[in-house]
Amino acid sequence: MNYAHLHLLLNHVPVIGSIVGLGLFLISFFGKNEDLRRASYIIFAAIALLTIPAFLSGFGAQQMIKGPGVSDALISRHEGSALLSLWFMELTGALALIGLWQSQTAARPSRWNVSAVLLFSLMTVVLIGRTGNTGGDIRHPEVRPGQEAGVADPTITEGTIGAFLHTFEPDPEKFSELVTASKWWWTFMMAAHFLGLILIVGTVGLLDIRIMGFLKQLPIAPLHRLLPWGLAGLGVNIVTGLLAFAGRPENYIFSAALWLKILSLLLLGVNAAAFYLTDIFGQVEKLQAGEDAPFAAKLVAASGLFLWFAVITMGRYIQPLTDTLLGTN
Amino acid sequence: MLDARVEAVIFDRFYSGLNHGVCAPGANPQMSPGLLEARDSGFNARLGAKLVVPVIFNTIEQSGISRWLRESQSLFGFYFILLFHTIGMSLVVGANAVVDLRILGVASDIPLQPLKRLFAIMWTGLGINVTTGLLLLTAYPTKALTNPDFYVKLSFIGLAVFTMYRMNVRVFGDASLSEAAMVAKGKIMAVWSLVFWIGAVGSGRLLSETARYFFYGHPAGG
Repeated sequence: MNYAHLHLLLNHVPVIGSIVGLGLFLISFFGKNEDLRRASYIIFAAIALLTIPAFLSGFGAQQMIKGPGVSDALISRHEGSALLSLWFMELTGALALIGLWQSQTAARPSRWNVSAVLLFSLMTVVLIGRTGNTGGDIRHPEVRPGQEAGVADPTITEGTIGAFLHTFEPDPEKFSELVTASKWWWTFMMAAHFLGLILIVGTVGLLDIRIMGFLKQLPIAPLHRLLPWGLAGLGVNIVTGLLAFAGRPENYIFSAALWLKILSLLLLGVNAAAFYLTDIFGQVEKLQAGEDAPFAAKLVAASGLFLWFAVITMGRYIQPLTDTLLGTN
Repeated sequence: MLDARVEAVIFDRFYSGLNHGVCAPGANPQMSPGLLEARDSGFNARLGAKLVVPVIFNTIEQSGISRWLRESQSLFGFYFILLFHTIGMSLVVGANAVVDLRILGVASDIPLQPLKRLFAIMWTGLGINVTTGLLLLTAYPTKALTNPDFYVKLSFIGLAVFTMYRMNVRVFGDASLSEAAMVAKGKIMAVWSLVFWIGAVGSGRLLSETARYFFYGHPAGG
């Protein structure tokens, strides 16, 4: 396994996943099927999470294949496209989580939420498709339009849609410079990343320790209502984390701790699924002051808490382990 | 194949590894002695001349524990302490923020009185951070104590902890208070608590950008 391998493994997930999610969502939209809508929202949220390692692995793959016979311009075009589609994917995932939250209390998510998911998932599918295509062009001359196979430094010809989308795509080098240009902006991002962490630990951590059996005087349903604050913290941290990575990818990509942090985040996705998509949430939500949670719920809560501390630990060790994976390719 | 950006960072790493990332981006350790001297004298002029760094900072830096904290390559050295400083922060600020938000009306069906037990978590987190903070200070006394932002951070922490103590005693210390009375008493404290903690975290993150010295006799920036 190396970065190019990892990138190839992960990069099909957002392309296919967003199409599957959109398909289910459109059927639910026209068929007015709430269960199907929920399913499509869960897919959008899961794909938004999996898009993160797909994006991160791209820089490692770039470091591997750079050199004679590979066009820098094509790589740069792909990177710019990824830098645009990434945010639409994450925003679609966030909107889907908001919709899932709303559907807890209301029969269906609000109108604005459904419209926003429709709009952004459509744009995501188009943009992610373009990212996949421009990525394929790098090493597959046979699929490049109007190109002879084996041309090392091809002139890029864009179709009408490609040319239109390209006007919105950032230049990757300039994007990196923009993020890192001001130390005040960088400090602001890092401070926001810490405040997001504090919100997550305060809300999700409190819910976890209550389910584990501490602070039993607290009923669980009201504690659970704190969660949007934790999710807001998560949103802030995904945005600031991805921006920091895009600003100085070479600081992060070769750190074993970064990948363990991402792995812990993916496992937290599994943890959330084990909590919400089984009967655990239903059992736990009813618990009043003094009542004890079932063992399975305690196990899920304890592993969630453990994984959050793994995320923090690995985040702190990104810097000392910054070049641990250098030369393993 | 590595591109120039990566090579530059590996070089940066080599240097900043000696001072745990406090090296300003782009600082060049290979400056000629003349250039270094010119930079430092300009730097001292900007500081307003007669500011002398106390020699005791150097004494601390040369002590065995300080050198071990700074120079040990062990994963259980400097970064381990920094990790617990972060975890302590998440405990004290996370628990305090939740209590503040509840007093300000978020998830208002959470019973308020039982949240008193969260103060034990806050004091534990504070204890972790005083301990780890003193160790970090032992590792880099000159860097911390010559940085004006360090005193801003300490002031914010002092104000936040004072507010936390007052809330603990005045809002949660009187079991006879009704929820409405607790909220009425705690509202202003909750706002200030959030402001002070955000200030503490923000000025804490700013420390590495505002350092005037890396070590005794080694000015930063230039």
